Amino acid sequence: MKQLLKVIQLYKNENTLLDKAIKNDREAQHVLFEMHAPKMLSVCRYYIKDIQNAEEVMLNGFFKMFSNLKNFKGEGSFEGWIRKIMVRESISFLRQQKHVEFPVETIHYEKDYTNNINTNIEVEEIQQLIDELPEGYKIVFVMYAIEGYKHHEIASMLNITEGTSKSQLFKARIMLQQKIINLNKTSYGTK
Amino acid sequence: MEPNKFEESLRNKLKKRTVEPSKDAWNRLEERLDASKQKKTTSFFWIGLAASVIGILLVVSQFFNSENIKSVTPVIVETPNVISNDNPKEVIVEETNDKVTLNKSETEKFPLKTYPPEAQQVVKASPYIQEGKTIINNVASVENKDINEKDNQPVILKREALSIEDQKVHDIIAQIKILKENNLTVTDADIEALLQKAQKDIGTQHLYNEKTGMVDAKLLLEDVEAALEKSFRDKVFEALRANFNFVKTAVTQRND
Repeated sequence: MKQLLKVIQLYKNENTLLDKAIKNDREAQHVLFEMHAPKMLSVCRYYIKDIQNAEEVMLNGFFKMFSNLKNFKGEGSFEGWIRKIMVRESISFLRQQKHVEFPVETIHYEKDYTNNINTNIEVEEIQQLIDELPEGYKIVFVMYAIEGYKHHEIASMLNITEGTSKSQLFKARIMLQQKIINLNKTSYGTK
Repeated sequence: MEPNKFEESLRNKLKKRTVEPSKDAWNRLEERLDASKQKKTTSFFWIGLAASVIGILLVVSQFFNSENIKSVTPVIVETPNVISNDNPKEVIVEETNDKVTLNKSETEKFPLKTYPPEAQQVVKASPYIQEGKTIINNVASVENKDINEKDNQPVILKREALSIEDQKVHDIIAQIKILKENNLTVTDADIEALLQKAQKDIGTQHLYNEKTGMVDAKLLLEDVEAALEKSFRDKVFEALRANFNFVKTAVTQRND
């Protein structure tokens, strides 16, 4: 019961905060920023290796979010809405920085071994593995495996075909599988 | 291609992760938000200023346009031409009347019978000459024209009149004088014959324009007929009476 009351309180607080933030209330905006910035910076960091760039992208995302806050109609969670903004900003940044390629090759989908990998690796190691992926693979993998987007959503957001999205994911998985095997080998070797 | 266990574990681990932004992150964002707010207000200010300037310009332009229209409307008047076209007769009649009275008072020797068509043409031609000028000038020129006509035309008319009709009158008087001097009796029939002859001569002179070789018969009839009927005859008779009495008394005195 107490938890429920807390949730209602939080909901009310977020609504009032949003109302104030729409009216350009700096304090409310600051509270919203403090609440969501760490998670959003983490999202940007999935895609962008350099933390300073990731932070800059996150600030851009927040700036756009506050500018368009009146357009938030409350469909879905507020956090989900900001997260979507951050993903779009990150993709846009990567495309501005360098030409992101999604090479189309005929792929023979073989058995995926990543399912059988027992992963006890830390978050930082996971991020490092993702950082090492080519941009095209990385974006599709993060969007699909981490963010939970569907292939048709990814295809429309990246302006590619669904087939390309699938092939990018497959290649990303193979590459990650290989990397994790290598990582395990070295870790076992050291141990 | 469904998310596998490995990916699920990755997701769970990554979703829990938080990355603390740098301390000045909020300040940087706040600066950008403040700048955009100022930009918005300034843009609104400039849009408002531009709108008001356009509004003022529109009002001013309408004001000036209306003034132009006001100043133009009287200028459009082509009535000077109409008046001058329609009223030359009046002008001429008035002027000739004035002139006649002047002539009467000035010289009884040269009484006026009528005025020649050339004189009318001179007056009639004047409005068409005025058309070449600007409309604004036309308004003023009407007045000037009236003045000019009053000042100058009578002189022209007088000279023209003297040159034709009065010469005839002189001729008739001279012939009567000759008849009197020759001791011949002058009957009314003789005088009438002389007058008719003189009238015919004047008529032929009217019909023929020396300058152009042609004359507008209608115009001539309209303008001349009435004046000729009234003024010419009356004036001739007046002149004849005066001179005839003079001659008559002279003859009776001599006989006495």
